[in-house]
Amino acid sequence: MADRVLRGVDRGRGWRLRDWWDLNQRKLIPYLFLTPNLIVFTIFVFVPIVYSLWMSFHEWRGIDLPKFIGLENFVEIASDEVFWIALKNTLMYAAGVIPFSMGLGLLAALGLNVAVPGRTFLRTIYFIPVVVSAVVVGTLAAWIFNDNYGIVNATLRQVGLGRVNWLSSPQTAMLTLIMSTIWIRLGFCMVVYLAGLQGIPKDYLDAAHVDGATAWQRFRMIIFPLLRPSTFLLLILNVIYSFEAFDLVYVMTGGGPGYSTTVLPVYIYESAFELGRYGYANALGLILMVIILAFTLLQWRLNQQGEV
Amino acid sequence: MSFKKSIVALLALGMLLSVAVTSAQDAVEITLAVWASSDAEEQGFRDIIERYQAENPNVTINLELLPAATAVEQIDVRLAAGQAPDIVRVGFRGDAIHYAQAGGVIDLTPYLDEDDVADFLPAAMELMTYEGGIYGLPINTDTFGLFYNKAYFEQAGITPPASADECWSWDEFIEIGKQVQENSDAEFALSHLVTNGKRWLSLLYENGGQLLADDMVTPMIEDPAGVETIAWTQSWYTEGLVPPGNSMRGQDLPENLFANGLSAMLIHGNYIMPYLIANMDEGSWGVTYLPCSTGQGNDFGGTGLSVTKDSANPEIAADFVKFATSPESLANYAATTLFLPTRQSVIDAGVEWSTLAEEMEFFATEQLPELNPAMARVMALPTFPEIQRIIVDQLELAWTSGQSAEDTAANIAAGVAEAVAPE
Repeated sequence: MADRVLRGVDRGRGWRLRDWWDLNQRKLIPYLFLTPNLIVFTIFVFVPIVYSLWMSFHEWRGIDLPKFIGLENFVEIASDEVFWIALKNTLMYAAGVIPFSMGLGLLAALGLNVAVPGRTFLRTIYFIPVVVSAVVVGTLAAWIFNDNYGIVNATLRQVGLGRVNWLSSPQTAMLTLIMSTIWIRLGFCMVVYLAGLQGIPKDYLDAAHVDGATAWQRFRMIIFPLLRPSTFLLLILNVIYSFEAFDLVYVMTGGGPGYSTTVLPVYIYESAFELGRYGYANALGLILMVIILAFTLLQWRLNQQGEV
Repeated sequence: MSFKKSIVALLALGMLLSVAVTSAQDAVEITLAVWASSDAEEQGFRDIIERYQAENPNVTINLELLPAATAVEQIDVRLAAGQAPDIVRVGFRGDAIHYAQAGGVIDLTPYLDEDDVADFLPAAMELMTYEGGIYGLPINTDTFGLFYNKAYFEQAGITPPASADECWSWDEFIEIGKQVQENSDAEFALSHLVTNGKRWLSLLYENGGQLLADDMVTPMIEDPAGVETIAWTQSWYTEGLVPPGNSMRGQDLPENLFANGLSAMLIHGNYIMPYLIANMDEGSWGVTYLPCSTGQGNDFGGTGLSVTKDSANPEIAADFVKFATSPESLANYAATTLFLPTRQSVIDAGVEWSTLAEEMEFFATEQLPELNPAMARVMALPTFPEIQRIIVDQLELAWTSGQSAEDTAANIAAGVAEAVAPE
């Protein structure tokens, strides 16, 4: 201690900085670790969001200068029929994808958590669509469900059933998209649940077993409640994923037939890059962001209430 | 060395230096950005460049290949950044107007000779003209024909029309479709590339209809000719003649369906013939007249070349564009790529096609005159991308979701009226 004071005195003004650092070190170091990420996020996320907000009050065709038009874009969106269809489609898509991908993912995780032959192989198979680009998976799915040459219709024909226009009928296109998305998301949900399952102490299950709990009771009373953090994480990630789904939809249906699969991101893309209405597309994008934010906050609140 | 000699030596030295200086100034690099859907297309551009460089040794033309689908987006971004290539290829989907409107490409009028411009097809020039200025020169065009599977026609006992006078009426075409679908191995009568607004408009004009009145602001699609055209194309689907995936937004490739023997007929452009040759047996297909109605119209595709505002050497860039669209270049380009030439003089003189001479002559002399300048004026509207979108969306609803022809016409009229209304 005495040594430290002496050294500080010896070095004149320098000791103040040193002292300040010693005092605040614990508070400052986390920010230093965050700095590289903050820089990247600022450039690629925060600045674009602010720019997008600014642009949503403008009319811009891409080359000329943006023209300020106030809230006109938002007024137009409110009465834009396609926007409401796209919003409804997005909600339908999310409602189809989230419960099934999580439910089936949990089922797969439960099955592959016990020692079964070929476990690693099966885990890999389920996980592959997550790793492969959505465009590739979408192209594959589009061929699988192709009306004329797809393997699904070929199989149906083999067993004597007629063809189904999977992707070219407004009645089935959304269903086909949802099924393909579940195929992709299932593996992801499975891996998160597997990690969650491995975190459950075996003692709890053994004790329950000794007490005579059935498999279903063990799942309902012990496993599922303890998986709560995983479920919460997956719910948030899947909501964001389904609201942002673009690549798969664009590759498989391009938003058609009719508007039956036009989800919000597809509509935003069309507004910006096909119609050159960048201001309008930015306004749509902001609305989508607000919706995702609202859902995430709602889940957060619900989760906190549940924990109390 | 005498005084005189040293003067001469000095002069000579000066001349040498000045030559060196000017040639250094004259060494010009020009970037030409195009998309190429086939090797032949790329070769067509390379041939032009080679000939131009031979005549102008100080100029180097760098060919840059862009993906066709996103070319406009990429050029837009580079124009915004002030770094666009000197010369860009512009599609007959309103690209030149789109750029001109935003000041992205320059008016070529000062570099052009009026009589020479008159040689280009008027419909093609419409798409290069914006507010009186000429913002590009057309290099190639293409148009539709009706391809048919010979074996299926034989099975069903159908003989294709041999001359323009014998062309099938629209009603006859539906009957022929049913006949071939029932009496041949074809699963569907037809697959087609009428899958964007512009191509569908060619049917409307063929039927004597108009999207807009001559004032260019009053929608006319609700007239009987318009409703009839919607109903006719809708009946392709309600009669089950076309695979449902072959719609405006559908993902089926029509040429693929035809080449695989799924459909008996194919409405497509002349440029699809190399694909048919590569994927079908020789002599298994033919091409004939499109079903005809009372008006004048055929699909109108093609591209031109424009000089951007960012070019450091607009004069030389314009000179290259003129060279590339000269009668000689156009004839060579058409022969190599199997596109159609855009100058009347070249069409009249005939092209020495590299292959498919008979079929190409059919397109050039029988189908090309059907191009309708009134339709080109609609395509040249700055808001045409928006109009296309409206047509695509509404027809998609009519074809796949049961929206009536009358409602479809009313919706298109309302959307188009809003799109063309002066601000």
